Amino acid sequence: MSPSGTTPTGTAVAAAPAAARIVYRRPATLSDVSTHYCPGCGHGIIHRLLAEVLDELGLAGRTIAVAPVGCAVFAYDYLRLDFVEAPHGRAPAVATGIRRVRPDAFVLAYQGDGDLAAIGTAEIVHAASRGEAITDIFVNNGIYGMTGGQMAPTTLLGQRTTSTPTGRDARLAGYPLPITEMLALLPGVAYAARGSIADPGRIGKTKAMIRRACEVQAEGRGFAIVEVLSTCPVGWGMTPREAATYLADVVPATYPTGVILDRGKTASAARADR
Amino acid sequence: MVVAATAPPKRVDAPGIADTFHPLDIAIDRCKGCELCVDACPKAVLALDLTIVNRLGHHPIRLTDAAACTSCALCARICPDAVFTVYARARKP
Amino acid sequence: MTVGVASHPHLAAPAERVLMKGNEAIGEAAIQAGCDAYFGYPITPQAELLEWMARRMPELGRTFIQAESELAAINMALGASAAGARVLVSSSSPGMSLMAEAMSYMAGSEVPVLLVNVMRGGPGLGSIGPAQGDYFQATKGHGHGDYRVPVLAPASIAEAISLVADGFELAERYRTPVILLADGILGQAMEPVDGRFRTLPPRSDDWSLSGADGRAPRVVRSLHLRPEDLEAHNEHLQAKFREIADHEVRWVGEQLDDAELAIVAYGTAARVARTAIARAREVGLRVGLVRPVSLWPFPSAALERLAPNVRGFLVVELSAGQLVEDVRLAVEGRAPVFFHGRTGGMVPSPGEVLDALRRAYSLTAARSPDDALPDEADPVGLIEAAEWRRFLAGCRHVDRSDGSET
Repeated sequence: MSPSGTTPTGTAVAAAPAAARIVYRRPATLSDVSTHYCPGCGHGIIHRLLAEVLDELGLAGRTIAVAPVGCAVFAYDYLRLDFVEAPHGRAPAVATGIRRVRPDAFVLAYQGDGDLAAIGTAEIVHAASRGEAITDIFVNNGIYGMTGGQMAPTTLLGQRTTSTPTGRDARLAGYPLPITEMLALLPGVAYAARGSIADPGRIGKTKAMIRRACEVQAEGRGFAIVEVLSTCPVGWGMTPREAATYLADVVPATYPTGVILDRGKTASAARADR
Repeated sequence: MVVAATAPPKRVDAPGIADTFHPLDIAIDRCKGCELCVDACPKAVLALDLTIVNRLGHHPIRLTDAAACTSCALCARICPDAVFTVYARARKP
Repeated sequence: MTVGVASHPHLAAPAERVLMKGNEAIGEAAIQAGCDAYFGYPITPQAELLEWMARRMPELGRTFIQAESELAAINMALGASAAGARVLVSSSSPGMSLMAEAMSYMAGSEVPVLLVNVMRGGPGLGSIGPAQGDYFQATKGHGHGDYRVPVLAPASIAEAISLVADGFELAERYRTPVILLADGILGQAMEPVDGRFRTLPPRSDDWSLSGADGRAPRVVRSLHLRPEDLEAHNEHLQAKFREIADHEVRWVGEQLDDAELAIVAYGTAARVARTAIARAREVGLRVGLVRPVSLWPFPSAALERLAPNVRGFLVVELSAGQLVEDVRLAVEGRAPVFFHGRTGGMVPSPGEVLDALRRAYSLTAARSPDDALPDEADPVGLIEAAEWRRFLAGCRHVDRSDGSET
């Protein structure tokens, strides 16, 4: 027997018939609305992973989240959590303020590459250096999507953007910033990892990283960051499938994926995760 | 900016199937036609339905062969818009 | 959350007078008023406030962070207040400029925070001497967009202590940032205070963030992309500012009942003015003082009422002239408004102010543009004689005794 009737997404399925079981449905913390993100945008995948992890760990009800400036400024419309909107780049400082006055909250910051690695570089370094017990999700798609596709600090050498129309030239625009490796040098950082949403296998590994980063906070170990390599099909001038292929084939040469640091494990076990 | 679906999403019926088990519920009003699931599906049974344009202006995804679907849920794992609800046949005792 | 004064080793039992440094008194006033969190960055002349909080807040199990910059500090405050805490931030002029962005966000998101600006000379790196050069910054919004914030200006350490508690109340009642505008003299001076600090009930509201368990999620935001939505939000904010303007004007008048001329000054300038007024009265000049305590909302009505009854106003500031513009706006040409100011960390002396008063008197004795103006040397630029000529040329004079015009 087929599942009974039409099933609106986001609601519990009416008494599951004996013939079928649910393998996957959208997490409850993901709002039941259509997002403004472009077709194939990685934010949708990452929001979903975050919602799944928060639901699986039972953290959503005590989460206070900080939204960035960037395409994901609307994260508060898509994730059913208490949210505060931070000025551009300031999310780690805003999260620090929340963390210090709400010891029982689960504190989450969600940032893009401009937010974290350009205008907010001081804030992320110092929140990490203080070992603030927050979990920072850093979405790196190597471009400024919201403002129309300009260069980001993480744009690859040679990559064309609207502000590097002939391709990023190191002599003029510097090198892609390995901010997560830099943060991993700091004693206050308990977990630093880089994932990717290029295909289901990598997505699965990224979800495990996000889960671990949340557990690190829940265990009171210190600052946790997961950088997620993501796509911007419109900004990159590609179809979503082309963008996913580019993400899998080209980006990791500059930004290798894997667990960079996990102080809860031995160094050899951390390397084995790569 | 939020575009809410105002009606329950329609289900997809694969043509010519005697077995009435449906492995996928697809919220076709939320699909943006990005086709990431097309590449993710190991059985290649997902394709855009070019006969439909949904309220977002996209051709939504369609399950072309329900019998071939193994309920692996890789489509659901990659979908940026969480349009899939995946069912598996109950395990036989 | 509040601590009895008697329990602190530096503070005597209530009603016993103690000598306190301004910066430290402001910090302790915040603590007694239930401040949950302090974020700051060292900058002269308010570093003692940060240092006081660095010692006291951890003693009480409350939050203290010396942030990596004023920019970080004010954003920590935004987060902490959005999460329900009573928050104090302090800085001085250059650091306040770094906070302009967050002021706009806090005003737009309606987040209460008390900010203390211990003003120093500017512009730029300026000097570490006292100044009042941030009046425009504080009262005209500070950051971008249509908004106002209440600004309170103490003229003594005792008044600063009481305005700290008032500031928290205003901030929370109206969901707005509030600025306490002091200067380097108030921050650094030590004055006797009676050791009584007002305590406030803990913050409670229905909008701050605590985790959405068991209720709908809350969002603290200032982004409203649809123009219709943002206009509605701005109308809501403007209605709030009108309510504040109707109810929260504060000013003090001294010796105005028989005043022929009124000085308008706030903070340290008002104290200098008070001494000058005492000396002026000794030589028969009947001068009074209008001392705004709320710089926004500005005591326009008080000046409007006073204008027909005085020969003129003299505005005294530790600046090139900022408050004077609001005085002129309020007076609307009904009386001449003169100005005396010093910049760079210099403080006007009572003697300078007395000279300015004498000059204002002699200028206002002239009844028509043809009257010769006194030709005393005026090396420091005390009075704008051009202002007086313009006034005479443009206004009618009303003889107060019989209502006839001259």
